[in-house]
Amino acid sequence: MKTALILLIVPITTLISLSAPAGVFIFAESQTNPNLITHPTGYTGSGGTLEVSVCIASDSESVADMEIPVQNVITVWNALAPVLGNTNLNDPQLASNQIDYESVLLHELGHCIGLAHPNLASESGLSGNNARYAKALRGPNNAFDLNSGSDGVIGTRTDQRGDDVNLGWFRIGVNDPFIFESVIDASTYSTDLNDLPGGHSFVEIAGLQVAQQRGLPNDEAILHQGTRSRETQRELARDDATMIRLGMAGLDRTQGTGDDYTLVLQYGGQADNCDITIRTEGEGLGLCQVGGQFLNSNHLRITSGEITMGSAGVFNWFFNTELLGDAEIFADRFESPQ
Amino acid sequence: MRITFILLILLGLSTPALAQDAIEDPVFVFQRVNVLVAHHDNNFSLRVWRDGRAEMRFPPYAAQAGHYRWQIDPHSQAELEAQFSRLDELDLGGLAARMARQRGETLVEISDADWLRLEYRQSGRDAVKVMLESPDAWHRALPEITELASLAELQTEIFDWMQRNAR
Repeated sequence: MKTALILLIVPITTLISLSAPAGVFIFAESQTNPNLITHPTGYTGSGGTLEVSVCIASDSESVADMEIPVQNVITVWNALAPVLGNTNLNDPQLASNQIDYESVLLHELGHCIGLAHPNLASESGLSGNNARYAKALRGPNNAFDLNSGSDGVIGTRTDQRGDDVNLGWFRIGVNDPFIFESVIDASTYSTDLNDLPGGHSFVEIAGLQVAQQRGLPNDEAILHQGTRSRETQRELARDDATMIRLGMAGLDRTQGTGDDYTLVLQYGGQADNCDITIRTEGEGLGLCQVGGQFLNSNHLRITSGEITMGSAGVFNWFFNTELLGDAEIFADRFESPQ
Repeated sequence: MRITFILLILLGLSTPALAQDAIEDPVFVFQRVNVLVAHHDNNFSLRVWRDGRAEMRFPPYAAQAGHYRWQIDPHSQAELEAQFSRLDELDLGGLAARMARQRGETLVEISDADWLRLEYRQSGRDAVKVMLESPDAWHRALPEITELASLAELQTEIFDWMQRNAR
């Protein structure tokens, strides 16, 4: 039988404001509001310490194996101490057929505290190399415009993206995702392509191939979608910490004012009443599901977070057994000035 | 204007049959793509042809990694027939619209959901093809949509079948 196909494509929302600036926070894409900043659970607009609890679900598989990786990713996100060169492509701890549980969990926890992929990723409907382009919305031509530009490397400042609408925050006048600034707020970061340096045509993202093209150590944003067997990424890249810091500038988007907060993730052990629950089960590799609530038209907070990691009966996970201490974070990550 | 793709559904229509298609197209196709994995070998797949030939691939990082080819017995084929035929009972044509409507009413995001692809070809009938983000995740987010729960259950049953036969 010969089969003809009908393709039904679901438009979630079809209108955006092309004049708005942008941001790669979770919900910004689905709400078609590039100016949206998403904050972790519990933020109301008041400054101070924002405590977010993280638990292992009571019905989870592999609880004993999870405990150290879960505590480590909490420690790493709390430290907000990024490194340059966070990617080990061939970690001798892992066999060639293993995937690092802790690295994938660090990525998923990033989603559950408000961050989106800096690349187009699978939610764009694209796959392979095309999914590595910088996150954007389709423009008036209703298609992603994908051209890697003069350097031929996807995700760099030379990409030609036609009428695509940028969603990525970048350092004004610099456009370098591999730096970590002392002031990170709306005075130093923008999504308006008019704030790009001269000669740059699009926002550069912290992708592995971009770092390699720049001659930097192997480095990639933890939130960049795409992991590999035998790879470990257990420390934040500068882009990851920058985005959390941008959110921590609060509703006024100005660092050093009264609505700033400090995010503190707290490990709650094995329980089901935490803000973020982690469960190992099933045949999916890993995902984060969040609910949200608007604080105002351009700010939203997470209301619930659930991470599901695939069953150890399905995937060859490597579970790290070395508990990271705060002192190790400091020694590893602040020895060199950022 | 922008469109977010969360669901693609492919529905077959009847057209004149070609004998070659009947021979070459698998009767049952299952594919689960782990979108988090950057390399190409990132999916679990099953294909079964009308003559009983079966082929499965589990990716290298899977506990049952490998490429399996065998001739399935009538009992196993009947099991798959019973599972895939449930696609006929679902209102897949309206699923996309219902998901879009529910998502408009609920602030929910799922990051890194796998992609699921199912195909079912019966003799003399239209082919049914479904491709969507993992229904096991979306049915938790949108529990009002019963088709998602049914697809999630079907997906798990087929995956269990694959695991039992990966020997």
